[in-house]
Amino acid sequence: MSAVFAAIWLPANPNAALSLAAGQILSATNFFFLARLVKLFTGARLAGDRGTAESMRGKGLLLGAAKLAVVYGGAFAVTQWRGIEFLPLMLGLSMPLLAIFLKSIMLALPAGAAKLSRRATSTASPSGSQAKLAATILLVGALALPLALLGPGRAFANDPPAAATTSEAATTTDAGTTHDATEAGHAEGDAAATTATAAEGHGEAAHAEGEHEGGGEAHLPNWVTIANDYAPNNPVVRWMHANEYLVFAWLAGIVFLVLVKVVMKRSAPVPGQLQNAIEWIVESMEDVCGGMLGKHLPKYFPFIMAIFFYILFMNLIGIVPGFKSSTSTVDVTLALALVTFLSVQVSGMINLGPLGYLDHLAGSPRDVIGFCMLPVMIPVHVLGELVKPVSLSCRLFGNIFGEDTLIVVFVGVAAFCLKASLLALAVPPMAGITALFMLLQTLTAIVQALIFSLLTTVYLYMMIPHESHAHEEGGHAH
Amino acid sequence: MNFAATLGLALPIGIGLAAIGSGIGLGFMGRGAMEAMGRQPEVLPKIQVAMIIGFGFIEALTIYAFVTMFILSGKIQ
Amino acid sequence: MTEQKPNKVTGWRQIGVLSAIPFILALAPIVGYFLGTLLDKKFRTAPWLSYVLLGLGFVAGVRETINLVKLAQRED
Repeated sequence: MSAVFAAIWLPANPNAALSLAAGQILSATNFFFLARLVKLFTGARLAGDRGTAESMRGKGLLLGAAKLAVVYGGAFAVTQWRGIEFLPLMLGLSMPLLAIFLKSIMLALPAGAAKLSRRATSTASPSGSQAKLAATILLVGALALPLALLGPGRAFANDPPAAATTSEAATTTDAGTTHDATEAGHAEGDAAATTATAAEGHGEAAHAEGEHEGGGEAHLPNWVTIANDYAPNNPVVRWMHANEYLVFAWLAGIVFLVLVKVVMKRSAPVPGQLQNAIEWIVESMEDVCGGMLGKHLPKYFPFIMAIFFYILFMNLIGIVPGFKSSTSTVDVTLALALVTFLSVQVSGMINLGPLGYLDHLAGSPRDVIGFCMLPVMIPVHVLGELVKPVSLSCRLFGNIFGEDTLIVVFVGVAAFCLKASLLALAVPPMAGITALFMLLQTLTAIVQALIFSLLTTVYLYMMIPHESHAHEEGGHAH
Repeated sequence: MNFAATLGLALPIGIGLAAIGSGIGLGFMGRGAMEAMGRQPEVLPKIQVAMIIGFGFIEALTIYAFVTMFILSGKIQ
Repeated sequence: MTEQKPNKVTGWRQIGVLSAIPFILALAPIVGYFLGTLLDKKFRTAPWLSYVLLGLGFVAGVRETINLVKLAQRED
């Protein structure tokens, strides 16, 4: 494959082709040495007696030295070479990485699903049909959610004055995007050399064009940014660039829909791995929510699961190189939280009745003191209700944005090291650290989606009439 | 030294101070909770819940600082 | 497994509910303050409403926190 690429590029641009080939060879040798080293060390640990272990360690040291000399020496030489073109080099470097990344994902998916399915079989079998039903309603919910998102998202993106009054972060985002749009127009050529290095830290993000510096918040380039750089005057591309969070939110929804569709179509009596995994997730969530909602579970469960999966996919899509989590902006999380807030309030009105809802808002006054406190208690309760969506959105935004920023900072350090050619030796450790943070990001994504849906459940629970709740409230009012 | 420059200097220092303070607070709290857990393992869940609530109160102060930083950082132009 | 399950569920719920406390506690006065400034602009009662709502925000935050703690400690 590499040879083909190099051959295609050779007549047009020999330097670029050479860079590509050099990058690929470097990466391949790096992996070769790494594989040998790992095999050696694991062999050394497995081998019982000391003599062979000693010899193996010696061999490992030798190999490590050889790797250091060849790979890093090669990298150093490449950075010193004048005719180098960074983009093809990075492309070449990251192509084997990309292949390995994809392969490992392919490997990990069935393995993980198998592990899940073993646990699921004990619980999944009795209520498979219920899960299927939930998945159907969930599909409808997922369809509805992007539509609900469309309203606030569009209002934020298309109307800068409105955005300025509604949220601080929206303005910074707008400023960042416009700044980038103007910058990208004229500074395409010379910016490429400095900014393409940003891809290296990831090790996988093959196509990088420009990292924002200054203006708004820093984030890694994604394919919308790249498309905007290549065709800045295309209205569709410009719209997509201005509303990239919306685009990625839609993408998450579509991915989720396709996944559910595939699983639903193949819903065999003996569930496959993917179906089993999804059913396991759905049913464990059912356990968690069922403890609280009780008999109201079937009414709210599809909504909760739709929120859970939507947020999960939006978070996870940020890990794929070239994509961006759309939950790392306040607008999207606020829209999600608003959907939650409205559904909680409406369900409260339906469940408690209009009078009961007003009673709940007033803090359920049962005696004279309670009625005297009424003018104070009503604003307090209204504020308490209003704080819930804000806290939900701020927590989701803060966690995802924080992780993203962390990764961007480390990638930026790696890029800086690569620019200063001698410091390029520090790049592989930086890449390792970044990979670790990406692992952390995966964990954060799952946990935050879980907590968002859990808190939605809790807030719904607060709006459901039950005896103990009324008692507690009555006791509290004294 | 104008307003924006002062703000640009003060905000990172402020958020760092908030992080230091809440870090010290969390450390004290965690130490106390761990010692209590080690001494009386039978009341472990209660101590855990109380510890997490205390963590929440301390974290709230950090979030105050964080939100204030976000609000004020919009004024740096 | 059946023995462990309710415990695990309660644990997850506790983590979720209790980790919401700092945000609620911190953001309630801030939301109150912004709501107050908004209402101040509308009714032209310059600083008063925002201060009152700031105080009420503190109260609301503490009240919601008490509710959440009560909810987290409920056993079932």
